[in-house]
Amino acid sequence: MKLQYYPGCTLYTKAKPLNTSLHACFNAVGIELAELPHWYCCGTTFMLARDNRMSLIAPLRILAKAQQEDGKVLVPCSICYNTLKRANYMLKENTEVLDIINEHLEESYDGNEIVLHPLEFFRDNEELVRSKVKKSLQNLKVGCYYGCLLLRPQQEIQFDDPEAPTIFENFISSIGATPIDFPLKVECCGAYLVVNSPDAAVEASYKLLRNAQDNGADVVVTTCPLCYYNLDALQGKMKKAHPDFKEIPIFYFSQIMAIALGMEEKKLGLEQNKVSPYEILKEYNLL
Amino acid sequence: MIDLKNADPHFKWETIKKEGGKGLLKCFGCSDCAASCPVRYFDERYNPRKIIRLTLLGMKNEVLSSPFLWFCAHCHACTERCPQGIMVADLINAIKNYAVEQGYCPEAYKLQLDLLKRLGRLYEVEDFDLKKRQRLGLPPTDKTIPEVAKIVEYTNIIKYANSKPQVPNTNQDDSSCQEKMEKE
Repeated sequence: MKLQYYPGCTLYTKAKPLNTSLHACFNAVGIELAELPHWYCCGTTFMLARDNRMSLIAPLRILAKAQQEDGKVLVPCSICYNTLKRANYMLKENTEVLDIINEHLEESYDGNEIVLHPLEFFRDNEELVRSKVKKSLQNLKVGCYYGCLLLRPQQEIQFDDPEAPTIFENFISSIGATPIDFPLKVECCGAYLVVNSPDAAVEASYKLLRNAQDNGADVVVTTCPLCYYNLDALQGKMKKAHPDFKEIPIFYFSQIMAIALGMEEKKLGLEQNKVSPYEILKEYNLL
Repeated sequence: MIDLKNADPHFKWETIKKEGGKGLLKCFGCSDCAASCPVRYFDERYNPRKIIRLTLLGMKNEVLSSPFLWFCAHCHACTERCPQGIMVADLINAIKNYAVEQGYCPEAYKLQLDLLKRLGRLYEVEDFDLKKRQRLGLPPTDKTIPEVAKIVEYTNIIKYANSKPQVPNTNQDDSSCQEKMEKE
């Protein structure tokens, strides 16, 4: 079976491990990811420019192009997912804007393309995932961190409950690991503040990692490339600010899944992790 | 202390007219947004409720010149928890747009606008980048994109951003307040 997918810019640059491990996972469950031809940036700053019709052009062109290929498109990056889904919602609600942009672009998009996140796909195909698990991750306690963009604003995204989501925990149990629930799993990691006020991002990320550790997590798993960067690469600074902080490895959900499916190490992209994940994986005999 | 003598009664009505500003009047000050805000944990002085309250009171100078306006990370935690259903992040954004219009644009954005005007790009393409593209088998790219620069010019945003604040800034910024408090 083929599934259409839109990688977005980060999956080819900063978030390469997400891309390679996701491909490996989907191949393992018998699905080939077909990349959307001639794709470009989704616009990313959708959430900062609601009034601007121009910012809806990039998402609309992607959605229109995707619709020509297939009725649904898989979007692994949380930021692209948020942008495309919110744009889709807006275009569907406000047909006037849709008509104007369609006219300018000579597209005929109707707002009906389904934007799908890999977690939603795995939720709908849980049995398929369960049947492919080769390694037991039972002892690994995984903190499930959602971040903001997959959940909020709920009315427009409709991914899961914005305060107490469970889709990630269910996914982690379906691949055989032990999910850890922690109160700050939906809290912000500091996001773009890492550019202008890095200290704010360090504090925000520290707070939620600490919360995950206090609740017993061995590792923290996330879906968003920006969260991944903040949680992983800022741990050096967190240690400087809080000397008693113990480093904790961060994974993409697809990396953990690839480990459970028994993929070879080079498909995981673990070498890009700033905080070494090898010790904990060796401790539980997962490598 | 708030001196309402300087308050501008039109300020809230003007803000409501901006895109994203229409929820403003619904606020009853429960402070759920401030309690949810992750930035507030880091810096107590950032407070979405305070911004909204000051806007409703008409404290135009205080609101528009406040550097804290620009701290929002758009995590939408406030939007989700607001019992009145206000899109708080969008509302803050509307006030930001207003601030730029009135000549209170942060320096970092002015620099970015300058790059857009000169090059039509946010990142300057240098020989290093061209070499890198060549190595990857990509065609060379233009160093400037005049069309984008033209669009930026038509939007008039540079004129707004570089204009002087229209209201004389009588606002004591928070740092000087803090110094005063420390002295006392």
